[in-house]
Amino acid sequence: MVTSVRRREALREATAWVRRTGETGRAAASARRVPWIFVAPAAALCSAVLLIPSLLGAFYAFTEWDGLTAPKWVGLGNFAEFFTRPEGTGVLAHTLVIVVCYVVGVNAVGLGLALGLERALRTRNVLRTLFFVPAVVSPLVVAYVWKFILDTHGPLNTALEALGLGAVAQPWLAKPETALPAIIGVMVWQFSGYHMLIYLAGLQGIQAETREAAMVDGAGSWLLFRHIILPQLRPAITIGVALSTIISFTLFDQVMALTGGGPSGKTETLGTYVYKQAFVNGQYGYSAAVALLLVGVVCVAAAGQLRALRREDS
Amino acid sequence: MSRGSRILACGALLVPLLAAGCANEARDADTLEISTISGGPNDPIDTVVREFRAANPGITVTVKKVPFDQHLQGIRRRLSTGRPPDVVTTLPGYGESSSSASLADKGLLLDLSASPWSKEILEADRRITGDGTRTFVYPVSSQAVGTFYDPKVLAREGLSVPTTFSEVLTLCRTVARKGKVAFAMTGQEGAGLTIFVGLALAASDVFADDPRFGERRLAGQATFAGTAGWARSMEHFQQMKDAGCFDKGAAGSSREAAAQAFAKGEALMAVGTTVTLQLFQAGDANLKLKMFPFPGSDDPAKVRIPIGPAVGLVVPKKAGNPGLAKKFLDFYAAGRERYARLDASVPAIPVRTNKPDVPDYAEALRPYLQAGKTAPIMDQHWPNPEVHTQYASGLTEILLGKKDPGQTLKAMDAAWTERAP
Repeated sequence: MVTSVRRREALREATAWVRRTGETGRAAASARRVPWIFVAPAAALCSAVLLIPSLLGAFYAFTEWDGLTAPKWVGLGNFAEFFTRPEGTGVLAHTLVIVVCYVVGVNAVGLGLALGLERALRTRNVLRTLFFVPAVVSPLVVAYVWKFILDTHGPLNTALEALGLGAVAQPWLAKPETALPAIIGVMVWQFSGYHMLIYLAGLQGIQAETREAAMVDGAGSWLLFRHIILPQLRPAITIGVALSTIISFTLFDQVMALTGGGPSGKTETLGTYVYKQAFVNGQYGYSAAVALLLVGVVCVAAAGQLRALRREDS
Repeated sequence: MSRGSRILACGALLVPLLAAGCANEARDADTLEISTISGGPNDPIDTVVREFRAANPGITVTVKKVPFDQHLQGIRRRLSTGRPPDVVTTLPGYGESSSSASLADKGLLLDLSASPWSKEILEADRRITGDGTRTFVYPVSSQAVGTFYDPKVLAREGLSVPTTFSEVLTLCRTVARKGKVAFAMTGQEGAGLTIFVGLALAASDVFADDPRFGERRLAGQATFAGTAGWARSMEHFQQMKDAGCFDKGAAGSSREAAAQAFAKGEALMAVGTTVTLQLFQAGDANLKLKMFPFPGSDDPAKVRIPIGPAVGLVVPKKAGNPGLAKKFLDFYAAGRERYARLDASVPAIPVRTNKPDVPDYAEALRPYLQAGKTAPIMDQHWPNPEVHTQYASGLTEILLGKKDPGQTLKAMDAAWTERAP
């Protein structure tokens, strides 16, 4: 009651000041312009490197264009072609498999690490750093290191043979059955530490009293996790899932470095497919259409995540 | 949003467009711009440019070198701009979207038929360097596919160079029994050595009976799946795999790992082109390798050597200084024998002869070249890279024991397009 009276008084004083100074129109207009002046340089840069190329790209998605001669309008022809080409559905399927497996894998491992390292271990800070280090290394560098490890004559197979598990050793990146899991494994290995940090931050937001009260009531580790920790970790889970979804949909570096999309296109993803159609096959219009499709898929996924986040907030 | 703010926002959007428009500055009339691939320390283009500058005082020559992949990807973009470079290095024939024939088909290259060297281009290379009547590319160097080996290693193992395909299989089995492999191999995407073995086999299996297959396939008069020679070449590859010619994990080995296996003597031979010598020397310049013709047939008379131009130089139609560009190519061609010696390559346009040639370490291939027992580097006739990808993938799947070879040929036909992309 007191607050609303004060607010009304403040508003009355401000209106009186504007009337006294007679600056209503000009001052307000110039005050409104200030943010735009600050935003203009960034907007110019953003439009040059992002907005204009994206809009042009979206236009070319509806054309047949070889990058050399004038584009020819084909309407939705490129999109239809993607779904009728034999490799089109394969590319989409590989991408979805990677998205599902990576999102589940990286968040599960990240959460597991966070729960493990939340405890008062003497080495927890060292371990946290060790697990986080791969996330700050270039994905390309990580992929090349793993390519060496997973080579037929690489350290992994050598170690398996030394342990008497020679039958398990195989050309991991050359076999269609193992190449895609290998890529997902490398990605999960690299980014689990990053997701561990997200979940550690979430765990620190859970009040110790709540946990203690649950334990006094006789809750074991599983019940504590299921009914106390997990519900309060939902905002962190939403962020973790949203980030991992976007990363996995736009995956490019690791696939190019590890398998180049092979063997026989069995690890081709939307990202690598867009690149190859444009820069190897010279089909810029078709490539732009697939890229636009990728943007659409990512937007839908991100919108779903945002909706879930808002529901949590409310 | 106020009117002023709207103007400000529009300005912010237009500035980049105006800046992009102003970036296309004019080039000096005496300036020659060359766009090429980053070469080694003995890249002949550096010497050619230096001597060309000395012979033409007052001109400015700029050379922009970028790595191989980046250069190939950038060619189309640069040719589509208002002022492309005056001279551009590219791959002759088809095969890549930026190969010379793909660009010439779109009318983007200058006709170089009037150049003195144009008439000296080998008959077999005319379809690669032009369209039969016009010439669009100056073929700089030549490459031939053969089998690298270290004579000392082969002698130490008590083996001799095979001269028929059956002898190749026998040698593979003998070497496999000793715990080694006959041929270094990798099937990894984009790095595979499978393609060289495939081309070496197809040279004998296909081109001995049908020397014009490449042109007939381009004209739509033949298919891969419908040609007995191609089926035979795939069967031969399968037989090599079954005879233990390659490492069991070859499909998953990197090119570097295969080259190291060869350098260490774990793999006794490697099929490749003459331009891959440095890869197989694995940094050891003292390794004196030799090359013998890969016998893709049991009839020595039917053995053929794949040979063709390795790289070429083209002049874009929109080049700022086409006259100076042509003069540069003529200058390069006049001294090509001397320039090729700098990086131990062989000029694609032979000097004092009308026969193709090879480096001295591949002298065993020379009698075949002299006798005209050659085949093209086949993918230079393939209109898009997807055909090559299907072929390489099919060979890798044979290494993995996965695919019926006939399916690969059908996939290559399915990937064939009438026009280059």
